[in-house]
This record gives sequence, C-alpha cells and structure tokens, in this order.
Amino acid sequence: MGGINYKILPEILKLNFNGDIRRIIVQQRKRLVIHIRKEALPEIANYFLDELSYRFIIATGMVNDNGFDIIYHFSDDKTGYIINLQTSLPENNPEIESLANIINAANWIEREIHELFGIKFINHPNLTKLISEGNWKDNDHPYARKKRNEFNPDEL
Amino acid sequence: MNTRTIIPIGPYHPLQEEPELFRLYCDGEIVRDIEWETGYNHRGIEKINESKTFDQVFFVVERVCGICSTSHPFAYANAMEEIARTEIPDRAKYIRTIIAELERLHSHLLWVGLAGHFLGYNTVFMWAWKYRENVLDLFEKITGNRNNYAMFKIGGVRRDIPDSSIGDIRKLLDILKPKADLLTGAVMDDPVIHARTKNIGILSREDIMNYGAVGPTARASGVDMDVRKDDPYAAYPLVNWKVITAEEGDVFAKARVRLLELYESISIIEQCLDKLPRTKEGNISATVKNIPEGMGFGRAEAPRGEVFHFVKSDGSNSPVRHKIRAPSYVNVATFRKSCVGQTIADATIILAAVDPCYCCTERMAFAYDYYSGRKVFNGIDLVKLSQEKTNAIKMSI
Repeated sequence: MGGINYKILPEILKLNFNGDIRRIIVQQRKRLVIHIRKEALPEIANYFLDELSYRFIIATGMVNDNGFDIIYHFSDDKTGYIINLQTSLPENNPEIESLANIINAANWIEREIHELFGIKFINHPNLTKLISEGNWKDNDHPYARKKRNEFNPDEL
Repeated sequence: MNTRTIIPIGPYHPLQEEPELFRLYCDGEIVRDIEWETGYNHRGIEKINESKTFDQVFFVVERVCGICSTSHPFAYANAMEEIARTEIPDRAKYIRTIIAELERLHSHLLWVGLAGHFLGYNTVFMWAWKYRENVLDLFEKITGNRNNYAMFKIGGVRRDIPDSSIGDIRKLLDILKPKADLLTGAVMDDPVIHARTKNIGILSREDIMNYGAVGPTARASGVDMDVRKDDPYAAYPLVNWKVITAEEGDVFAKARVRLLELYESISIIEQCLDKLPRTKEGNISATVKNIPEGMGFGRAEAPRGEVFHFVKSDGSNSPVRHKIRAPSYVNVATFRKSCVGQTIADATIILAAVDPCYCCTERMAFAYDYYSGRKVFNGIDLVKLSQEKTNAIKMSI
C-alpha cells in the first residue's frame, strides 16, 4: 500500500516476475519504463493495481519498425510516480490480453487502439469501434500507417 | 417479458452544446442502462501533431479543448521539459500558475452556470456567466485574448506580466471575491438545489478507482487526488493551498468541491502576484536548443482533472508519437455507474455533474458517405465551399 521505496522496486519486480521483466529504464525522476513480456501483462498490471493501489491513466499504441508497441501508464498518486509497462507486438496478427476485465478504465482505450491500430484485445467484453462507428471502412486503421510527417487530409 | 424504452439524448440536442449521443434504456421512470456514442467531432489531433514541429504543436493542443485551453499546453510543456531536462525560470513558473488558476476560475464558474441551467434555475446561470466575464477581462488584460491565450512555449512563457500591471490585476480579483461569496451562498443554501442534487448520482471510492476518474469528480468521492499536490509542477509547491475534498460523492458534493476551489484559486493567484515582483522582470524563458531522443510524460491538473500527455521524440524536430488523455475521457465512463437506477429527470444533472467536455474526448473530423464509402467532402471541397459562401455574402452586401 503506497509509500513504496522506488530504489528497491526493480529488485521487488525481478523477485516476483523473474523472466517476465525484460528491462527497467529510469526515464526521468519519477518516471519508470518497464519492458515486459506480453503474456505477463495481466499479472503485472494486477500487481500494480491491486497490491500497490496504482491508478490506471491510459494506454498508448505506437507503430515501431517491426510492428506495434503498447505502453500502459499507471500513476502512484501518493508519490507522483508514473510507471509505464511497455510491450511489443508483431506486425502480423497483433494480439494481447485485455485489461478491461481487471480495470474498467481500460475498456474504452482498448476499443480505441483496436480501431486506430488494428490490435486485437483477447477477452475484451465489447471490442467494437469507439469513435468512428459506421463512418470508416473496416480493416482500415488510420494510425497504423508507417508514414509520418506527411499528413494529408485528402488521403483519408 | 423484459421491455425497455430507449430515450436518445443527442447527437444534436438543445441541452448539449456539443454533439454526442446518449441512449438511456429506461424501465418506466428509472434508467436501467446507458450507452454513449461519440466520434461526431474527432479531429485526429494526435496524428496531425506528428506532422508539426515541437513549437507548432502548442497551437494545436491549445485547441483540443474549447474551454480549458491552457491545461493541454501546460501538460505538453511539462512533457517536453522532461525530455529536454530543462528547468524554467521562477517568473515563468508564477505566470504559468496564474494563467492556469484563472482558467480554473472561469471554467468552474461556467460549470456552476450550466448546472443551474440544467436544474431549471436560470438565475444562477445568469449570475455565474456574468461574473465569468470579469475573469475573461482579466485574461484579455494579461494575454490579449479571452480564450486560446498562446502563453506557453518550451522553456517558459511568451509574454511577461509587467510589475506595473499587478495592481490592476488585483483590483479585478477584488471585484471577483464578493461575487464568489454571493454565488456560493446562493448555491449552498438553496433548498431547491439541495433537493435536486443531494443523494443523486453517487459514485463510491471503489467506482472512482475502477473507472480511473480524476479531478473534482474523484475529489467529491473522498479520493484525495490532485496532480498539483501529488506530482508538483510550476509554482504549486511554492505557494500555500489545500486540496478540497468531500466524502458524499453525489452531485451536491461535486458542486461544493468546485465552488470551494474558486477560493483556493483566488488565493493561489494572489500569492503568485505577491511573489512576482521578487523575480527579475523579463526573465521568462529558458533557452532550449534541441530536443533529444526520449519519452516525456507530462501532467497538469485541468479544471476537470488530470490531463496526461505522452510524447516520444527521436531527436528530429517533431514528435514520433503524441498521446493525449483528456480528463473527460475517463470521467464520462462513470455515467454507467452514476446514472443507472436514477430517474430520467435526474439523468441530465448527473451527466452534467462531471463537467464533460466532448471536444476534449474526440479528436478527428471527416465526412464519408455511409453507403457508398465515397468521400463527401475533402479539404479542398471545404475550402471551396467556404470561399463560395464568403463571396455570396460579399455580393449581398
């Protein structure tokens, strides 16, 4: 419950989830990025939400060279730390276990990422489109394009 | 047999100032379930920002929200200064804090007015919006604009508040204080408002954690959470103020939290004005030469709650990915908890109680024909349409 010593957090995580943690990067003061195996996501997220009473902020989908990255942002409101769980998904058939059954706040953002990036969330209660229902072609994921810096509204 | 009446509110409805669709599934007078549909106003700002330089992004994120146009640049500036590892001058910290708190004043006043309007108590609406004008005048005096102030940049602020104008700002603040008293008295002691808002739309502490709700919505349910205290930024650690909370979690508690926050905001602004002359006039910006590769996680407490900006840079001059999480995105989801089991008449004020801001929640606009999949309008068509209309108006004059 709160008040966790962040100096020993990496050791605690390695003790509990040995093998699931790939890398821990201290990005800035109070900001940690933890690279994890995608299969271990529900377990580790549950540890932060239940045991440490973290708040789920949001998830971010990103395109990388080999597929996609998802970052789940958690906040410790007692100390101001932001813990980020980052995991990579392959370009073909990107799938990851949904967090919506653990925490309701993940419901909408997973629908949004599914719509914009085409990432499939397994066991999501209602994986329909969130923002462009009825307006956008199926299987066209506007944010999943690799091109950047070339925004042209007429292409949409 | 289980039959339910569906009552749609929206997408275009005189009650709501922005397009969104609520479907209330009702059993007689009681709301049993609620569905929310959005996307009428999505503008794709996250994607647009990838084609802008870091400095240009400020002007785009300022337009994410029509009401709290400082909170998004504030969170973005915090994220960028994290990547660049920049410490901003004290004077810039105070100016940023003054702007952010003035914005909280005008946004809370706006909410109080709207809440009164939804309850059918239009006197409160008229008063609150009249007093809000004074705050907008202050903004015009400091920044030159009533909204979209364009005050922020990486490393500081764009305009100084000269020491000579502090006296005038104080005078305008002094006008505001008795009016805040009047308004608070009118809302807190009114038996009709008590009857309409107490024990309505209750959110428990567990609901708040489950839905990740933030801001006054969370604080009214006894969750002591405020980014200004938890993860201090700008001048908030340098002034004295307290986080306002309430335990009940109903609509009245949310109103009380917002009204009492007015006084905290006025007090923060006054303390900042006290400390402003102690810093060097004109020293409002640190020099940031380039943005290194990295990730920035910026937060700011908007009037509606925590704004979260995630920026990833790769050493070039524009973001690789920019994620924006507006507070309404998580607060609106709590409707499923707060509306269910209440009557239809109470649903409107419960919907209004979290102060939802839909243009924050959505960020893209396009027009497609549903059946043919053909674009109805593209950018060029819209420009053409606009020019035709302008010409038609010119001809008619």
